[in-house]
Amino acid sequence: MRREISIALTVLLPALTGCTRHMLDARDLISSLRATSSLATEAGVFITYLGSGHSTATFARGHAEYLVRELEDERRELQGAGVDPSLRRSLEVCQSQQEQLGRELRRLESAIGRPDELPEIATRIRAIGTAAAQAGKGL
Amino acid sequence: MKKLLGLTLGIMTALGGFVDFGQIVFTMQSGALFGNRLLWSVLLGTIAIIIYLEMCGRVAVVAQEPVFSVVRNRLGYGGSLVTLIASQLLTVITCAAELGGAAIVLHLLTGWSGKLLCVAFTAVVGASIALLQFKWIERVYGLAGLAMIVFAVSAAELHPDLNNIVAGLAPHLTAGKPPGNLYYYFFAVGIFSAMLMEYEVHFYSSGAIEEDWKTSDLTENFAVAAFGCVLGGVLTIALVVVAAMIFLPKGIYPVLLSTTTLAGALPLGRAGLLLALAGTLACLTGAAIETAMSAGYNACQFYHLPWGKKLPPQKAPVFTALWAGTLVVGVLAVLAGVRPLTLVNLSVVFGMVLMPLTYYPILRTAMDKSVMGRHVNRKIDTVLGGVILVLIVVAAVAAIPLMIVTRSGTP
Repeated sequence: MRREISIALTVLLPALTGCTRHMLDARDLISSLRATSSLATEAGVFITYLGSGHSTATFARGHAEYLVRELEDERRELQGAGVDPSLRRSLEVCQSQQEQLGRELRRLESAIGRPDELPEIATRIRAIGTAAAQAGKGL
Repeated sequence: MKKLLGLTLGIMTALGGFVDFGQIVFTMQSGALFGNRLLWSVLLGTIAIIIYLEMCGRVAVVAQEPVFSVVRNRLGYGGSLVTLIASQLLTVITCAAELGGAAIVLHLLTGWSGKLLCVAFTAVVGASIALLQFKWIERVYGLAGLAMIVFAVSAAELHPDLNNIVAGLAPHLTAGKPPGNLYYYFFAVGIFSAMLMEYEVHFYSSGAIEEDWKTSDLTENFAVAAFGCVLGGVLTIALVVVAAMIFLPKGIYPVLLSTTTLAGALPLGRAGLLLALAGTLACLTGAAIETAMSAGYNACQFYHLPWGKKLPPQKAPVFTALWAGTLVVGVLAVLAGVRPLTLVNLSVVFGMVLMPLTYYPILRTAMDKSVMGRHVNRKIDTVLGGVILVLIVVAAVAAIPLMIVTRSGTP
């Protein structure tokens, strides 16, 4: 009985305390790139909606804030994660796309109410989305 | 007029029950991945919940036994205690998800702090349960949920391909497109589960007793169950169609409540946005009330303790403590930073696993002539109920493996 408990503790404790390094596989990276591309496209649709003038100021600010937060959650999942050496480059690409998108989403958040800045942000976000989607397909 | 208002129990049960946070996000994700191909799962879920709501309403009226009393009688003490504990956990998780979702919607409406709004919203929900009579709870939140019709209007405004929608209502065994069959089955099970969440039958059967339904009301029982569920089913189909037309072509996989609301608002302008937010808030409020009250109903019915809105709190102290406690635990979970969407995924999948333990006793009691007398199931009720129960068992067995393999459906 004691042996079983010690085996269980050996397996469970590192997992519970977060001591093990989270290993990612190709599927994780594809999923992460897809999420980045999806968020970028979503932000593009949102900017188009803002341009229509139908949004309320509180909804616009709130939705921009949730987009930023969602990307931060995605980024956290990759932070400190380990990958097989063959996937290291893909991980870097993924992190880079997320970083760029994070920057643009924060810019979008602060540009709510300044419609003249939106087209430029939309163009950059679109480019990030396309790059993330292509990187995902290449994996 | 009174009979018309009687429909609000069905409307609130269905809108708060299966047009809740879980269903809104789940169905829109399914539409974003598979277009209208999973509409059959909505249709199946709607038929299933109509059949079982009618059955549990009938059992409640004829045998004067709400669902958890039936569960205890049929499963014995041990089995029903496990069901009770699991149901209570599930109810708390779902309630927390609804409170968190409502805080998001309120933040989008007002711009105020989400946590502060969550606390204030929970207080309003608690005050509604404490102060309003049962009939007013169902009328206010059932009718407010009708604002969700804006999603059906949005779907119509997008001019969807009706042939494609009709084709989607017929079951397809395979996904026919990426991300593949396992994801397709996961979403089929998830939609089916979200439409049959246990707290719907707990709330509905308890509501029938709260409202003093008599056997002479049994013809209305079917109308109430069917009207509410068909309305909920149509709105759920609208959510899928909107997602299929807005998200699928662009490759968007929605994970935010604000995104799903935006999709409903896109074709309709500012009024559409406000209605979509109001409708979503009403449904989440209804769901929060249903789950909190179900926690009180379940335990009291299991232990044969006094329960119900008609009793003053001091005469039903356990009932009062349980619904209030559920709200408190729910709000604390949200304040602790647990993501509502994580809670939703948990509740939908684990709800499916638990479902046979709730639905089997209802079917057994409804087909028992010694309990139901002349109101016993007709052969067709038993056959349909049995077929649905088999599907529920299959889905329950598949739910957790599918969740693990598909990582909760994340493509």
